[in-house]
Amino acid sequence: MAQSIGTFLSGFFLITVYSYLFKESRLYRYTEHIYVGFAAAHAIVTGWHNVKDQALSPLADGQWLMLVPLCFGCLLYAKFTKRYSYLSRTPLAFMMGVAAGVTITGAAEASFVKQIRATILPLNNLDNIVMVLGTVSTLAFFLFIPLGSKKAANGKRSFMSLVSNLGRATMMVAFGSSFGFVVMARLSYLIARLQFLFSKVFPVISQ
Amino acid sequence: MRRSWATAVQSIDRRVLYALTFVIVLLPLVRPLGFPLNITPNTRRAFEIIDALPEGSLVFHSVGFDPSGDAEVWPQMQALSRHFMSKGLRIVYFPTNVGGDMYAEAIRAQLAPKFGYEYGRDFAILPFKAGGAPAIAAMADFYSLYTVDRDGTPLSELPIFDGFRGMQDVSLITTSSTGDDALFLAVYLEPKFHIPIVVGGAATIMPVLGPYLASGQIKGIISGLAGAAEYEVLSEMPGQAIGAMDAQSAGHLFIACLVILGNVGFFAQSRAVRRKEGV
Repeated sequence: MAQSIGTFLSGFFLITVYSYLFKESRLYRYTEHIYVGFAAAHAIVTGWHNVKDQALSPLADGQWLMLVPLCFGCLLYAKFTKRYSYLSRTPLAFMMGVAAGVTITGAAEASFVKQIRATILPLNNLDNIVMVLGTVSTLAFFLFIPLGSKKAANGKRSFMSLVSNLGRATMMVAFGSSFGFVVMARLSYLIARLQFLFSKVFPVISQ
Repeated sequence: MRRSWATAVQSIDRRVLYALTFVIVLLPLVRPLGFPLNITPNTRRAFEIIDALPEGSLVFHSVGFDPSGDAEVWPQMQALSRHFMSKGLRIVYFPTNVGGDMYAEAIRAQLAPKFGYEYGRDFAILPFKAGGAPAIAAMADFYSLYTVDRDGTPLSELPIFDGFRGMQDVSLITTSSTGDDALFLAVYLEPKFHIPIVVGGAATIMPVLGPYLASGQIKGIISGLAGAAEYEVLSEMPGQAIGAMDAQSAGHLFIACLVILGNVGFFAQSRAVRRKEGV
């Protein structure tokens, strides 16, 4: 029974949200407010559980070191007062220091050196040629924009201009590919919702 | 004033387009059309790497999504888990999204009993750890990050962790994520432990991961719902993704047609304007 009510409500809210595509209505706004309320409530409960499971429970078990992150966490809220807002800088500095310290280790090799190495390829097949030309021309587009926009002395477009244009074309292909993936993702979401709507709420299709 | 066809195709009412998209995506769900499904090399590579693992190998699987992304990633996670379990691999799920552990729980409740998988011996679920990149980087010192499982049971009491020293004992890391898990794993764990990484994730993050695939830091990619369907075909275990592929293909065809139509209209209109101005 509870599941049926849940399914019905879910279907109802789904339709009201999609109704926005036709026109913004009172029902849509009603659903929007409910959603924001639920999301805020969920975030608070989840946040509380995180604090409880990862700090309060271990503290109750005698792990006194947990007082440090708990105090730092509380100090973050000092930001809301004018008088004590400076206190929030200490935990922020600590967090940024830890994040920088942990993430910089190895990041240069993995995100930079290996990526460059992957583009140093023998030009013995089309894939490699496209990869090398695309990388070099895209870099040239950003590094040599002033040169790329200049014309040669005889009025014709310069070599750098051609390379720069190739770089721009390469980026357009990459953006097009990203757009394709976004379309693919959004269609998947629509399909999942339609599968739910027409298999559970209005059983027209079998799952 | 009468509008030219070039102007008309560029200004179709968006409500008409939405309605058509709904109908075109819905029809194949009601009556499948049987579009062919091509297996991409990335998915095939991902499948082959997992399929080559010997029975009993330890796989770590990150669960980095919540209900907002489950339309794409949940079918992938099910397809991967079915394959792991059919091969007798040991699996440790580690949620990297606060909503991730409920999907790991769903695997425990729905899928594990079908394959006779016993919790603690054949698979385990670790608790969610906040932090993103620093949390994944901290996995390098495994027991400083995780001491208990999601239920609060000490890891030392779970048989799956018998003799487990740390990430150096992991045979493969896989992901089901809408976030940057794969990136963090490739940057912080792969260089230290040389663990192969197979990525499953939302289609939108795939262009970002392309360079990591090219450099070999990531071994295979399962991209979006289409990747999940391909994986189901390869593992010969059909699931919910295959049923959605006709709708996906029909939707893509429709959108591609709209893009072409819009461009044809744009160029035709530009040409007409130039002709009018005598350029």
